[in-house]
Order: sequence, then structure tokens, then C-alpha cells
Amino acid sequence: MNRTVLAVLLVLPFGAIPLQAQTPWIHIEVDENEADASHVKVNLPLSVVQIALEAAPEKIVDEGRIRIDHIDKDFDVEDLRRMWNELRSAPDSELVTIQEKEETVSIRRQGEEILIEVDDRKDGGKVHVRVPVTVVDALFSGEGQELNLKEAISELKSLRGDIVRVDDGETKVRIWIDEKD
Amino acid sequence: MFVLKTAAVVLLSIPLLLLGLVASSGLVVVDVKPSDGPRIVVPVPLFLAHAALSFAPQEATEVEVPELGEYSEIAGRLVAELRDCDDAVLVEVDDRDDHVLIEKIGDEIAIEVSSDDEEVSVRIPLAAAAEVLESYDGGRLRVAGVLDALSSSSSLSGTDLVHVRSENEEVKIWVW
Repeated sequence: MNRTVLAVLLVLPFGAIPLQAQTPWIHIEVDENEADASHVKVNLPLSVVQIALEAAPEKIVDEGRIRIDHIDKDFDVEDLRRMWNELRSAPDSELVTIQEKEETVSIRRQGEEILIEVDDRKDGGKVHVRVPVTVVDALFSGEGQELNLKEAISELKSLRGDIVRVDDGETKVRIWIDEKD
Repeated sequence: MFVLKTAAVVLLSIPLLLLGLVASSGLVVVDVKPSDGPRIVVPVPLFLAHAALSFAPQEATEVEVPELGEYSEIAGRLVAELRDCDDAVLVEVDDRDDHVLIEKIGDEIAIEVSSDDEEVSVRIPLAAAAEVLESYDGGRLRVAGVLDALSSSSSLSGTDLVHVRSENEEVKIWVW
């Protein structure tokens, strides 16, 4: 008995090493369906993405915060932030549903995640986005028209699995995070 | 007789000393093979380049790279982070006629670009890149810093740093 306890105590620290050493990697895959198509694969440690973000031009990203107002006047970050603050404490439910003849958009909260699904029946396109609530919180932690990308990426470090899946019939995009390079 | 022996030892030791210096500091070889002309091979012993630098005017010992400016510190951290991460294919693009592969292999970043008429292969030793970035000061890269990085990076020996192959010529830059 004592030997077993001793063995477990000895093994525990070594068992913990891989967990501590695991670095989250972000993977992006873009595949065109047609013959002779393009294929793109990007695999990067999130820590590298975080540092690279600091090198983005200041007028786009300033100290890890992206300003949206100069990109699209109709896209109001402050409105979105206000809306998010109202919705973030809502229980598991359908937050937004837009049903049109050829397209359905659904945004719902499921546990600690926000799921966005778009079903384009006309072109057969499907979009699936999964974002943890903490990432959206981090994204909206900027001020005014700013989205805080640096904090959002920092939060992504604790996420594993698919974040974005898009299949619009012509192109497939998959973005996911794991500990494999 | 003693004088002759001494002279012989001194004369023999000069090439040995030179060989030792080349071996310890390294040799950069530029090899150009045009499809329709003579092959040009230029070996540059790094200790000679270092020595030449000490006689060069100040402006020739530094290369102005103002674009790096504020990014040098970020680039340094990026290099450090890449050195820490596992070997992996970082980027792979297959675009009909072109293929791009950026891979982390050991302490190097290997970049390969191939198209119908050209193949380019570049290897960036991360230790040397870190040293070069450290030598960056006030918008300038010290040429001596670049030479130091090439000399001290043991992983470079026998490696093609740059290899470009096109229809018209083949260019190789390697370190020994």
C-alpha cells in the first residue's frame, strides 16, 4: 500500500510535465473544392500569433486593439458591445434567429459558448462558429470602436477544438486549436 | 641551419594558421552557375571579411534598415518563441502552379518556394537571426554582427543558406 502511494507520488510530478509543456497551436486549413484548386495550411503556436499581432500597423491594431470604424461605417462596435453586455448573462437559449427563404442564421448560447450557424440553402453553404463567452468578453474589453484582439487571442489559449468551420460549396475553411503541431 | 629550420616552420605554419582561422570562423561560399557561361565560385573566409571591416569606412560597417525600427524587439521575441516551439510545417500553400512551404526544422526556418520555372530554398538559422537582431541598433544593422552570427552558428556548416534554381542559372550560398 505504502509502496503504491509512494509510486503515485513519484509519478505525479512527471505526469504533470506534459500538461505544463503543452503549447496551444492554431491551425487554419482552406481547401477549394474544384479541380486544380488551392490548398492553404497554417499551423502556428498561439504565442507566436500574439507576438506577431504586435507588429501589425498601428492604424489597424494599436496595442492589440483593432479599430473597426475606418473599415466599415455600418459596423458599430459600441452597439455590439452594448448588445453583448445585455445578452452575456442570458441562460442557454437562442439569442438571434434570422429565417429567410434561402438562408437561416442562428446565434445561440450553449453553456459557456456562443454558437453561430449559417445555413445557406440556395448555395449549400454552411458556416459554424464556436466562440467561448470569455473570448467575446475579451474581444469587447476595448473601448469605443475597438475590439481587443490581444486579449481575445490570450483567451483562445484555453480553448481546444474547432472554432470556425465554413463550407460554402466551393471552399472549405477550418480553424481549430489543439496542442499538436 | 637553425635559421632555415625556423623559416621552414614559420612558412609551414602560415597556411596551417590560415586553415585554422577559416575552420574556426567559417567560410561563406557564393556559387553561381549560369546556363550559358562560366561558373563563378567566390569563397569568402569570414575572418578576412572581419579583418576587412576594420579598415572599411564607418558607413560601410553598418546597413541602414529603418523599416525594422520599432519591430526589432518584436522580431527578437518572435524568433525566441519560434526557437522554443516544436518542429512543424508552419505554412503550406498549394496554388495550382506554385508551392510554398515554411517549416521549422530544429533551430532553422526552412522556406521553399517552387513554381514551374523557378525553385527557391532559403534556410534561416534562428540562433543567427537572434544574434543579427541583437546587433540592430538605432535603425542600423552592424555587418560585424551578421558575420559574428554566421561564424558562431555551428548548425550552418555545410548548409545551403540560399539556393535558387531557374532556367537561366543556379545560385547557391552556403556556409562551411
